[in-house]
Order: sequence, then structure tokens, then C-alpha cells
Amino acid sequence: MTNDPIGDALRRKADEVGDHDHPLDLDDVKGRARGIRRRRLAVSGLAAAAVLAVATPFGAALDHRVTGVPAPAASGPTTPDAGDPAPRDGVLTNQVDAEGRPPGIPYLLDGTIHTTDGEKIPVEGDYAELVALGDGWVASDYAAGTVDVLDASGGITRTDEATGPLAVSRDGTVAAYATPRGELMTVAVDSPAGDPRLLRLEAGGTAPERVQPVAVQGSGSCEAADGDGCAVFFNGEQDLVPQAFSSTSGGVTEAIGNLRELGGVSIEGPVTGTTSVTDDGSCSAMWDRAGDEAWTTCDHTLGRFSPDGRYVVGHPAYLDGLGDPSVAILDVASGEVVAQWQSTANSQALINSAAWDTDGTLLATVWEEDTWSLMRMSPDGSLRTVLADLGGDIEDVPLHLATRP
Amino acid sequence: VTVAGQVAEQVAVPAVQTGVVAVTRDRDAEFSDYMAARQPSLLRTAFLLTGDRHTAEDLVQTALAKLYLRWDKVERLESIDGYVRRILVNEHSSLWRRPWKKRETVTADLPESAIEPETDPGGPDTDLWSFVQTLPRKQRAAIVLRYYEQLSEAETAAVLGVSVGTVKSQTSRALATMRSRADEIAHLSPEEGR
Repeated sequence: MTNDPIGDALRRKADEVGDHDHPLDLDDVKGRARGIRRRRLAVSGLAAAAVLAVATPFGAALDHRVTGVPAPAASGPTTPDAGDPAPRDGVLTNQVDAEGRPPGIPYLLDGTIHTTDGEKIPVEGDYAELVALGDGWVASDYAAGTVDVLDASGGITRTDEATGPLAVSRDGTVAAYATPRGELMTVAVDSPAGDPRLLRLEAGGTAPERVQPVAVQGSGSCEAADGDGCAVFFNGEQDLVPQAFSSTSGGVTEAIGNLRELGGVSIEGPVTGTTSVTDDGSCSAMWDRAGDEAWTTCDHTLGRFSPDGRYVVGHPAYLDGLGDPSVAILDVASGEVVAQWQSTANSQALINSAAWDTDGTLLATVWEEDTWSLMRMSPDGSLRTVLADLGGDIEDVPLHLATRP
Repeated sequence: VTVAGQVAEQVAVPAVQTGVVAVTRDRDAEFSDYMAARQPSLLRTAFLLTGDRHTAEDLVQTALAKLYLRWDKVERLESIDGYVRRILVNEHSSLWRRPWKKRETVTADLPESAIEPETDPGGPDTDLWSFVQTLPRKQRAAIVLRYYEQLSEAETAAVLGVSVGTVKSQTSRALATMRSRADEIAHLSPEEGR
């Protein structure tokens, strides 16, 4: 025993893994490496052709230009790509000359909240997620395992332990987070005491575990007694089985059909979520406002809805911790892909996160050429650089878009 | 330099120093040497980070795969182990950071139970282990790196990609929580700062 009792205890625990434990051989590692590489690269020339074919009806007036050289600092809007000898429509890349307008949603960058008014609010925490709540903010410091409620100037007014993502109502008056104790909490602008409210979670006799909020519907105080209760849609597990749930401030928690994980919840009613997951992919479903399955896809993991409810974002069907080598915009009504961007052997680009802007375009942080950039993608197939050369590490994106409803 | 780091250097240095060897020696053979030397150690660290053997093996497989893809570049780094540790921690954290990317570890048929200790059931080690598993992932990583890997605060900060101040706050927060459970595990509380 040394004078380091924690170290000693951890070493005794770790010794349960023997000195000669080699469960993995080189083939295991190379197999996983091939999978990683494969997911990072374009699927095939056929896929690229399909993307182009899909994008063309919307992109007859494609106004973006993609080049193979690193993007310079913002240099003003770029004219259409009439002179581009090798357009790469549908290619996921951050090496794009065309300049996009500034984000219409707030974001975190270098310890500062950048508002849509151009205001820059320094914050203390090492935040990795942000939502706007009333005049202030709610931000998660993943490193600290905390969530902070911030006033308009960025000052911390309340701190709680938290784990996982944040969710916020469409009108920005109610936010939700989960605690490491497995609780689901709401923070409401109009809450009488200003305190976070604990949602009672129990479905079928047992409370879901590992809960993670996805969406909040409602406004006001979120108190059912006030007549303006709210509902939180969340992912969790019951008996170790992933399952999507909803829970109301009135204390009613229900499983949402056969959805394992919610992707997005539209205020108009439709819901997306994954229905099955395999070792190399997944299937997702679009539920209409009546709760019926409208269509399914095993080509994408369906995510959040555009602000006008017309489109839904499609992440790859196989997700891992590396980032997404593609992203698609799908029509909610038909399930058709209207635009898609896919990394290629040349670009090897990855997306960390994507969020809908208020104008119905998609903002995404894209890694390529040893730097992150913020890109804007439109249903018309255009791809533009919003903020270029943000730096960072492939494992650590420097910019975090505010989480939207 | 930790024992882990020394072993990594023994594997990597010849290739770096000779140059010719780095070019001519079979890449897979080099990587196999590294795996043979380091896999149990990486698995132990991953086990402490994840809390269960199955997820630990999955994490190590991904970390080694990423290392393999960058082997030609990484072998020139001063410490391969430091690089792999960073992948382990970040990969584990990123799965949590991006909840929709959990499916590699959260599936209906994945064994979730941690390995039960073969000895000392219910003893202080079990108390500490239970406590460590309740920590947020980055706090747990900070504790594992500081007290198991015996990294300095600066080294831990580099692996976690955060400031030294954040490492201090992470470990202090974890130790404070530990002290609040003094009846159970107070005898394990170490001196802060090293």
C-alpha cells in the first residue's frame, strides 16, 4: 500500500484485466479500421451520381462552387460557378469559396456566446452545449458535469449536475436537462420560484433510466396546475432496452410506440426516430401527426425538423463517435432526399453537428484539412462557408451551435 | 515518464531513430509489436473509464483502429500512449457528448453489468469503484488519469484537451463528493495536488 489509496484501489480493480489479456488481434483492429475508413469515404461513384441526380431538379440554378483548394478568409459572396471546370455537387467539404451569411442562431466559440444580434457575451464555463432561454441561456459544461442557467450578460444564476444534451421549447421559455441521478428537469422562464422542476418519470411501473431530453413542447411556467403544462420527449432505457418516451408536467409518462430513439419532434405533430439498429446500420421512421408511420428509411438516421416543418435532416444510417461522413435533407411529406452531401476519398470530411437555421437552411460544423469550418447547406443543394478555418482538433470542435427545438 | 510511456518508447523509438527501419519494417509487424506490448494496459485503462469489460474492449478496438489509420504519422510522436489515451477518453466522451451516437455501446443485447470483483466483495474497493462509476465521464477520466495512470495535472489536461484549471476543478469536485460519503470511503481520500 502506498500513500495513494485511490490509485491503489483503482489498480487492484484494473488488475481484473490480466497482464496477458489480449482479446484483440491485428485482424480485429484492421477490420474496425476498414469500417472507419469506409464510413469516412464516399460510398461509390454511383452514390455520387445518385446525389447529383437528386439535387439537379432543385439545383438547376446551383449557385455554389466547390474547389479543391483551401478556402481563404471570407472574401465576399462568390458568383455562380460558371468557370468551374470540375463541379463536385453533393460533395461534403469545407473547402468552398462561396460565402454564406452569418448564422441566424446563437453559437458558442472560444468561450463566448455569439448572439444573432452580433453581440459577444463572454462566459466562464467550458460549455459544449447552449440553448437560449428567455433573455438568458442554459449551457452545459460537459467537463464539469454541470448545467448552468445564465442571465442575459452570461452571469451564472444557478448550477446543477447534469449529463447529456439539452432541449428547449420552440418559444424558448422552457428548457430540459437530465441529471446523473437519472432525473429529468425542466427550467422555465415563468417558473414561480425560478427553480428547476423535477418531472415524475414512471412508465409501466418502472422509471426509465439513462434519460436524455430531445424536445420540449409547451411554454410558460411548465406547471400543469397553471393550465400551461408542458411535455418533454426523451430517450431512455427500460430493462436495458432503448426506448423513446414522453412525459408531461402532469406526471404522465408514456413510451412512444416502437421508437428506440427519438430524432426530432415537430410542433406540427410529426415525430422521427430509429426503429431498429444493426451492427452496420439502422432504420428510422417518420410518424405523422396522427401517430401513424408515414414512411421509413434504412438509408438515414432521421433527426430534427426544419423550422417550417417541410424538411428533416438525415444523418448516416450507421453512426459512430467519429462524426458523420454525410448529411441529407429529406422531404417530410414524401421521404425523398432533396439534397445530400457526402465525403469522398479526396475530401474525407466529417460533420460534428448540424442544426437548422431559422431560414430553413442547415448549419453544420465540418472537419477537413485539419480544421473545422461552419458550413451552410440549403435544400436547393448549395453549400457555402459561413465561418472558415476555425482550427481545433478532430476530436474537439471549437464551435457549438445553439440547440434548437 | 510512466511505465506505459517507457514501453511505448521501446516500441517506437527504434523506428524513429533509424529512419531506414521506419521505412522498411513492415507496418503491420510494428503495429503488432505495439499491440502485444500495450493491449493489456490499454484495456485496463478503458475498463476503469467504462466500467465494464465488453465496452472496454470495444473502446480499445476503436482506439487501436484509429491509431492504425494514423500509424505512419503517430509513430513519430513522442508518446504513442498519450495519443491513444486521448483517443480512448475522447471516444468514450464523444459517445456521451453525442447521445445519438451511443448505439455502439447502448444496444438491447449488450451486457451492461460490470465485472464483479473476485475478492473483497463489499469492501472499500467496491465502495470506491461504485463511487467512481457515478462520476460524470470527464470527472472519472480525470480521476483515472491522475490516480491510476499517475499523470500530472498538466499531462491529464493535455489528454482531456482541457485547461489545468479544469483538471483541478474536476478532481476537486470528485474528491469533495467522495468526502461527502466519508463513512463509506473516507479512508481512501488522498492529498490533493501533486
